[in-house]
Amino acid sequence: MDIQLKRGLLDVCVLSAVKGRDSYGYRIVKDIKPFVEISESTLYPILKRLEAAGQVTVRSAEHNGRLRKYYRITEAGLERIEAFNREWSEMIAIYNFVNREEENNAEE
Amino acid sequence: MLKNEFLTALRENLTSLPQEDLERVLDYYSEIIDDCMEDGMTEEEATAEIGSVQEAIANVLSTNPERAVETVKEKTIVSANGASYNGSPFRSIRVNERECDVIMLPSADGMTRVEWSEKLPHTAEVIEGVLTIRREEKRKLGLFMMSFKNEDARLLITIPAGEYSELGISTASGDVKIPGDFSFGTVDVHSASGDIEFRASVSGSMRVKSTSGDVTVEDTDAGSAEIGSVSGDVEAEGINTPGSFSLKTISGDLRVRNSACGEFTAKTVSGDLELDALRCADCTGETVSGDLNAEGLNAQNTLRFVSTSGDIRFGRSDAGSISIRTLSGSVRGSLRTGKMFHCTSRSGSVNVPAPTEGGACEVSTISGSIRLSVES
Repeated sequence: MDIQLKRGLLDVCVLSAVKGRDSYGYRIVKDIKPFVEISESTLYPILKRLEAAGQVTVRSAEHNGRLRKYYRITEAGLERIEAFNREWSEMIAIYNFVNREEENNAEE
Repeated sequence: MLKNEFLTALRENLTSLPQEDLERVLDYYSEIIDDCMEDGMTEEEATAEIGSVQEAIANVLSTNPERAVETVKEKTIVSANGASYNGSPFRSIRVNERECDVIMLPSADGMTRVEWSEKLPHTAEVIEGVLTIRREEKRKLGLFMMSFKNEDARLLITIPAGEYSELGISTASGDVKIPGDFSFGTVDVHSASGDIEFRASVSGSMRVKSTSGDVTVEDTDAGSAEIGSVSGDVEAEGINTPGSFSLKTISGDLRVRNSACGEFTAKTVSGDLELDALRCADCTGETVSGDLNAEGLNAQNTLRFVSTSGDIRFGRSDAGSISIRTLSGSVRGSLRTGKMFHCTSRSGSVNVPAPTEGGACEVSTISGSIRLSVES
């Protein structure tokens, strides 16, 4: 798949993984893996990018005697998902056009 | 590998990072390994789950803008005088590309370099005197096939200016740019959807073709030239060949300027054909529905224009003998010298000068009109 497109999809997948509840690195990878190829190492730059773009916030919380970083989606992150959904419905319309059934010549 | 070994390897290889960033990376991996172990893995399984240290480093550095520039050009062959890194010289270049633009550049220091983005892996090696560059086949995700262009999608081939034997390039969606600093024995360049710009000279045969992209060939001497596209436009200017020069499209327009050749053939179905200042031995122009326009055309022997419904126009043109046929199009033209005119239209008007001595000029149309003049 095109790298730019894949990168965009991964961003949205990660945003979606922290949408309903705050989540942490290991769980985000586990949640997304069945759908898109992702590893702990590829997640790192994505999280950094989303944080820099203000689409997620990070807080550290204690867990079993150690610190764990939890990521939470922001308004900007939710908007990004919205934008993705809008684009995608356009893509689906194009997909449907490309794969439409050949119409019989209705004018005749 | 144990957790500590993994983190130590990261620390040792990321010395260029600011302390704060480094701590952040180490915390991240430490947390992930702990979470894996909490999920039931052993320490070794946990580090194995994360993958290699190299992969971790590459991903971390990709977020650091200073380093990103370097990694784009990570794979480089450097050599002098056309010899590759392993010392074998090359006379020919063959490129098998997919989505990257293929750009050839003259090297300022006599060195050869092949550069690509590390995210779009290629191989480059010299095989039996051929610099062979391939986009690696591995495709990790085959879910969607949309091709939004990525700015890193470039393959830069920097080689010493001068003569080479063969140039072969095939690419799927990338553009191709070959500047005038090179000359080749033979050339075969093909792109499926990319545009092609070609300015090098060719002593033997030259084939430059795209399926849906536009093709531009400029200031090129060639033994013979074949240029085409299916749906893209084709533009040729300053082409000089003693041999045959042929252009072909289905729906794209064809435009030729300031060129000289032996046998000239241009064919298109629905595109227009435009010839400006073309000198050739023989000229054939064919369209089905496209128009045909010529200005300052000079064919030493024969000129043949054929169209089904396109109009045919020519000005300040001449040929030894002329044959023009169209079904429904009209024919308008001015010639330099008088001809033995033989012009017929079944339902259109015919307006031509009186026949004089000279070559034959046969024009026929079914429903179009014919008007010709001779400039003195």
